[in-house]
Amino acid sequence: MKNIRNFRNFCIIAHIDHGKSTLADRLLEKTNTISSRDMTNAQILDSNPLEQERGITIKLHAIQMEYVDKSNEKYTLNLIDTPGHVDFTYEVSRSLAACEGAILIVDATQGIEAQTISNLYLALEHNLEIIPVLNKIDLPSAETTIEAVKKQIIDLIGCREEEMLYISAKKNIGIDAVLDAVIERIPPPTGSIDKPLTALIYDSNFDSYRGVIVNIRVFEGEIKEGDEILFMQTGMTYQVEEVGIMQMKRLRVGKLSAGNVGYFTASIKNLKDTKVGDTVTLAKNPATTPISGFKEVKPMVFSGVYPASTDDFENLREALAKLVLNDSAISYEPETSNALGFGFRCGFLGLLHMEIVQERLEREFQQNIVTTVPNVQYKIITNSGEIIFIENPAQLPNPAEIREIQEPIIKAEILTPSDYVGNIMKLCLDKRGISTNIEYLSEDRADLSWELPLAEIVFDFYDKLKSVSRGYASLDYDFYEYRKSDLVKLDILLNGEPVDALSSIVHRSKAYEWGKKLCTKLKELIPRQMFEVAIQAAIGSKIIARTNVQALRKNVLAKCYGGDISRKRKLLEKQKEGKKRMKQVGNIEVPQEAFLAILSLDD
Amino acid sequence: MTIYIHIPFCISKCNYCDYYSIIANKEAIKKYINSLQTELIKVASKYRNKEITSIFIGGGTPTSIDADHIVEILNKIKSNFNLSQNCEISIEANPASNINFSKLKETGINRISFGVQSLNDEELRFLGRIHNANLAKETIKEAKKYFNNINVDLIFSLPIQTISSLENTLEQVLELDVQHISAYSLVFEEGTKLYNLLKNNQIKAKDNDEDAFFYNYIANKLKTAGFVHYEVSNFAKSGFECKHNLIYWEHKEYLGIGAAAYSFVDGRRFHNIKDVEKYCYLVDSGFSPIKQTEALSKENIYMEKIFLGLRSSGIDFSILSPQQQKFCETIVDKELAIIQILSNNMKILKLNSNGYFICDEITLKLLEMNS
Ligand SMILES: Nc1nc2c(ncn2[C@@H]2O[C@H](COP(=O)(O)OP(=O)(O)OP(=O)(O)O)[C@@H](O)[C@H]2O)c(=O)[nH]1
Ligand code: SF4
Ligand SMILES: [Mg+2]
Repeated sequence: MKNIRNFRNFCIIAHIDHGKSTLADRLLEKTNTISSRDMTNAQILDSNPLEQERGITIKLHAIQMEYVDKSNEKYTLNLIDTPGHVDFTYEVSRSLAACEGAILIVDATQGIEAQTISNLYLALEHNLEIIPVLNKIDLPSAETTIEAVKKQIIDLIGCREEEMLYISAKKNIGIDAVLDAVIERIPPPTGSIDKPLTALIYDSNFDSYRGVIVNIRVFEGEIKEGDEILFMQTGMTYQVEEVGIMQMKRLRVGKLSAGNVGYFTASIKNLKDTKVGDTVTLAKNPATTPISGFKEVKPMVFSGVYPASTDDFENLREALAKLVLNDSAISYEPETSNALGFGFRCGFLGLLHMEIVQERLEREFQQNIVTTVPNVQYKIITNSGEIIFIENPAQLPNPAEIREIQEPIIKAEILTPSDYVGNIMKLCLDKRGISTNIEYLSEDRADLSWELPLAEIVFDFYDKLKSVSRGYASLDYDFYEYRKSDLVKLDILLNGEPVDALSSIVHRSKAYEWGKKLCTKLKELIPRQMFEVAIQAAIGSKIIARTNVQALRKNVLAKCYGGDISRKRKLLEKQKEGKKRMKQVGNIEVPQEAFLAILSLDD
Repeated sequence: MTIYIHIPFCISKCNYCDYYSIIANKEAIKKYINSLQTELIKVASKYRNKEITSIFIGGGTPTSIDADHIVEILNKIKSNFNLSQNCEISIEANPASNINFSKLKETGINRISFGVQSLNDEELRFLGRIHNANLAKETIKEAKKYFNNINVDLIFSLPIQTISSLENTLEQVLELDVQHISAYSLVFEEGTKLYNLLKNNQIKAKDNDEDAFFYNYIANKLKTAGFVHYEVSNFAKSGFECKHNLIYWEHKEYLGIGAAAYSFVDGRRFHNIKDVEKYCYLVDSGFSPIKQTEALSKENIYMEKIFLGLRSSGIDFSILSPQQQKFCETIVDKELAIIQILSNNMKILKLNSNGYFICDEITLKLLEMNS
């Protein structure tokens, strides 16, 4: 039986792209969890094809390793690799809850960035031991930056210089020291197998044969196959079928005891029964107090997701239901649109999350979908004092019934080299932001605190921030509060008919400009057709901008004799396929991209 | 059924041309004509009971070879097939001073179609034509002494064309008083000289609107001159519609003989190999020169009937769904088409010139509603 003192549970945290998954690769190799030969591609834990393609981690990945140290002592290391992108902060906080320590990676050429700080704070909230690691020291430019970065880290964490490790995850430099530090500095878990079982659910996913795979960190007691377990929050009981640990594949081990990390299954078909953050205990001998979980994540942006062909509504419903089994952060509700028919209003953690969900629907579930412009959730106070939340601009009540519209405000932390402070302030002001603090972390590095409407961040804020700072500024944000704002609904009419899927809620001061740009953009996107198409932008009954798509004048192949007929038929067949990517709105053909036109207004 | 004969020889290659045609010597031509007759005789047995309503000798430039060859071929057809009483026999020609019209007439040809393309010398040079406007006019005047059913092919929307040069060409053509005019908008086919010039940005294609403007101009001008716009690119004096071409658009059968010739018989489309030498070799050694055959599915046939009908004499209302019929009414409202009731009470949707301009769009809309 393994001694709890020889367990180490830790995760790797950092700003995006600082090298977490690459370090994980090296640790897996050093501990022979995977041979270099089987390391078929870099960032092997990024197992989803989308993660591989985009070169980013989108989901936490846990894996258990065995390590024998210099004095021949055997250790069991539970590692969790986490995502760095702000949309997936929730994955980080769940990972932290299962660990006693965290490796905080900082790219030696980039220095501290927004998620370095936000993830560090999360780790400190969980009282984790932090091991600061400077990565990418192989890069020539690290030579010039490393001293400054060292200082940044010392200032931020308050650690001593000797505590820092210098590595190149890519070039396999300094990895032994990382393992030694994990063993030496991260405290072993505490807990006793004699106490009643408490295990924290930090993640779950779905397997069509075994049902929900529940990922747990056992804090006290022991969980075995055959045990009758109780989910303390939901009150559901199940009989455990399989207990195991995560290696490159799941490995059945029969039981898990205090201090360990692993999974169990219990033929759970309903994902709602297993809430991430809930505590698992034994039904016969339950613990008295649950482990404190985490606050539930709430979607931040919403968009309509519709089947490209109306016949596929049921298929889409099934696909969403399956997808949600593996990504509980998505919310979805059926809705209807006069332009797009039956579909769903889906909630996402952010724009990247939205993109990834849409891509997974198309690729893993072969759904051909049309999506609408993302928007935030608005809080409406009616004249009668009733409060309603709307996730779709088309649901906005008649203005005459509205006392006040509130929009979500976020608190943003922007880290930037001081040179760009001016540009960034200008950008934030333009996005209706309020500056609350500027702190100079060093002579040439500033931390700007702003309150900004989330709706302004949703569109193109991040890209703009990167462009006004030559890529150097980074952003972290969190929901702050709902705040009253002068918002109006901007409608788009095609040949006089409002198209609900093109409606948006915008600030009055920007409505006119938006309306104009949107009309122009739509004119570019909507192809010429048999009849003229009038495009209008309106607030209420007032038209604020208009343009039109002229009727198609000529579309016919000049010649069609004996030899041309087959060729022409095939050509028409192909064009017919192309038309399938169009939505019929009344008798107007609207390409799917048009429903996302607002996103590219500035190109 | 109708017969198409392909004569794939030209004096030189035009800049826009992607038809199968080559420049060959007398020997090669003679050999080809022999093989072609072998193919004719071989297939004739299969179709002896089908009445031949028209024959079209196309190319290439059929008038660039010795007229005796044409006589040989037609004699073979006459003795091996069952020709109808008033069989239309057309030949394609390019302006030249040495065409033996009397021999062609004698052998039974009753319709002649000239590749004129333009009557502006600069435009003719641009197209790589080997004749000038004057020779074209002289040739037609000569032909008129023998034939009273003459077509002139024109190409418009040339990059260097202006509306006044087009007007000028049209006026001269009208003066020649021919019975039929085909007007094609210039297409830059891959592999042609003009295509390469376009690709290298050395010339600029007319845009859709300009093209539509030229087309519209032609349609109006010819209508005023008494021509009927009976297919997307075809105009005829009443009664002079080309029977042979109507066969294509009415989805009827045609048999193609010769290298690269296309056929549609018994629900199958097939075509012969596009290579004179290989064609001769195959035929002479007793093999079939057919390169590819395509059997049409029910959907294929439906689709063809719709798009071919729309671009010519119209489509039968009864093959349309209620939703499609309703759509037809809107396009009639928008003055893109008319509804004709034939003497047998058949209801036909027929596009007018404005409808022809956007025929493909209308076709796609109709097809979309079917699926
Ligand atoms: N030169 C150099 N490049 C490195 C090193 N470590 C990682 N990289 C590169 O940095 C990029 C990002 O590495 P990842 O390991 O995917 O970064 P990550 O922190 O896991 O990124 P996210 O999961 O998206 O937050 C990749 O192109 C790596 O090859 C290093 O030590 N040296
Ligand atoms: S004459 Fe006709 S077939 Fe011959 S090259 Fe010119 S366009 Fe082509
Ligand atoms: Mg990663």
